[in-house]
Amino acid sequence: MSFYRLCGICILLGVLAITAKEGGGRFAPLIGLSGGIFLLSHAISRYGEVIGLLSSFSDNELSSSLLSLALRIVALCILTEVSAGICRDLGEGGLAARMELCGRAEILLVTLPTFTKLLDIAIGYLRV
Amino acid sequence: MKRLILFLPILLLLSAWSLPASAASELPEDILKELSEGLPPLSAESLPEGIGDTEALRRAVGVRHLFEVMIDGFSGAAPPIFRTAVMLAGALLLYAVLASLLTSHGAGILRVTDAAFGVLFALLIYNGLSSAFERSAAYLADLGRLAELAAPAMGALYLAGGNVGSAAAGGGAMAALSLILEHLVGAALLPLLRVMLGFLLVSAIGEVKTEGLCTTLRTVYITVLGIFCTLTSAALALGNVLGAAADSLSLRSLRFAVGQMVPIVGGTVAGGLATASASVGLVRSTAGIGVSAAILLPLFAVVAELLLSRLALSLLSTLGTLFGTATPVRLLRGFRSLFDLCLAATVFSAMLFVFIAALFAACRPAVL
Repeated sequence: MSFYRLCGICILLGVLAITAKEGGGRFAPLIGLSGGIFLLSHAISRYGEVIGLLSSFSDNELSSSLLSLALRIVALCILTEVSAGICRDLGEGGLAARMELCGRAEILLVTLPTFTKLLDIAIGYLRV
Repeated sequence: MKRLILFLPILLLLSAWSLPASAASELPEDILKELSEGLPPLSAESLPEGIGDTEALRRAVGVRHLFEVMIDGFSGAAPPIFRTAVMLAGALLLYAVLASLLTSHGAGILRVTDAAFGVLFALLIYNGLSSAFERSAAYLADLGRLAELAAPAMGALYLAGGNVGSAAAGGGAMAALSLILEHLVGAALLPLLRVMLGFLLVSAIGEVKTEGLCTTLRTVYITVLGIFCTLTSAALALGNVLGAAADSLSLRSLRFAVGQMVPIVGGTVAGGLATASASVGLVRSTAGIGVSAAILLPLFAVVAELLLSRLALSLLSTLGTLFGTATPVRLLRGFRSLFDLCLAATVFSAMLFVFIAALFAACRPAVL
């Protein structure tokens, strides 16, 4: 999907959400949610293409795995932020904070093997 | 009778100084062969046909060939470094976009992402550019081995040319060089680089800042290396020149004495001594050029890789500054300073070695 079409859909969803709010407001958050999910999936697929392109430059497995990890972190960040934002829009600030906490834990968990690997290399160098 | 009395001590002296003639006929070829066979792997690969072929060696250290080697070094090292740089630039851009998104909407998650991306960056840089370190370390280790190998060979060739004073000075030079390579490079630099690299990798995780420590270590090391190298070079050059002058004077007197006082064969002996020394001079200059080539030719590939890596890190650091990404820029600058130190130490050590080899090759045999 082209970026211009994406912008058009986004504006259309915004107008729909405003109209829904004026008509009672029950469906407005759901329109926002569906728009958010749609944009998120598009952004992640585009980032995936970028990472794929960058991976084509790497000549070993470690670089490729690091780049795919970067993509996972990016996806987790965007997902956490969009979810927390929607929760806030629905008036659930506490839930949004918990969502962010879960997101941080997930990112840490995903990155932990890489942290361990880096520390192993560093300790290997410091052990003269 | 008077001439006979004078002849006896001269004969004794000649027997004491008999090394040049015998050495000139047998020793130099063995020495060149030993030098050629004992060359460390990096040096042996770069030499055209060993150390024995003077013409090939002269061509090898000619400006044209050195330029070709330099261009080969750059073209060989460029593709992998370029690939790593593009990958890092892409990751940098990705991080910049993500950081701007998180700064405007959710600063809470930014710190964790920053740490995670710091680790990813450190590993990507390490994975892509650490081969330059390994190559530099291998080259420095080779230099140490070459110093150990060349010290006795140079000493023997000095003695073969009658340069006893220079042999002492040259032996001292090589001993000092071995000491520098062993202590300042082998025992200090490589562990120092490893420690700095370790600290740098640890500093990638969050707010651990080790740049100050690394900068202090680097400054102290470069200062000590600079002072040591300057003093050693000056002392060696002076010692060598003085030694050569003294040797030349004493052997000229001896040759004059032999030519004047020993009847009939005196002139022949003195002439033979000069011929032998001339051949030793040729062998010595070949060995000097060979040692210089063995140092210079692999040096270009190492320096090219280090320079290109440094250039890539500088460009990426500028790109990171433009994007406003603090953690990757800090890491990139740290790695760049590490490459600076590696580059300085490698070039320092190699140039000191070439200087001594040039001094050795330029030192004329005493009898000429």
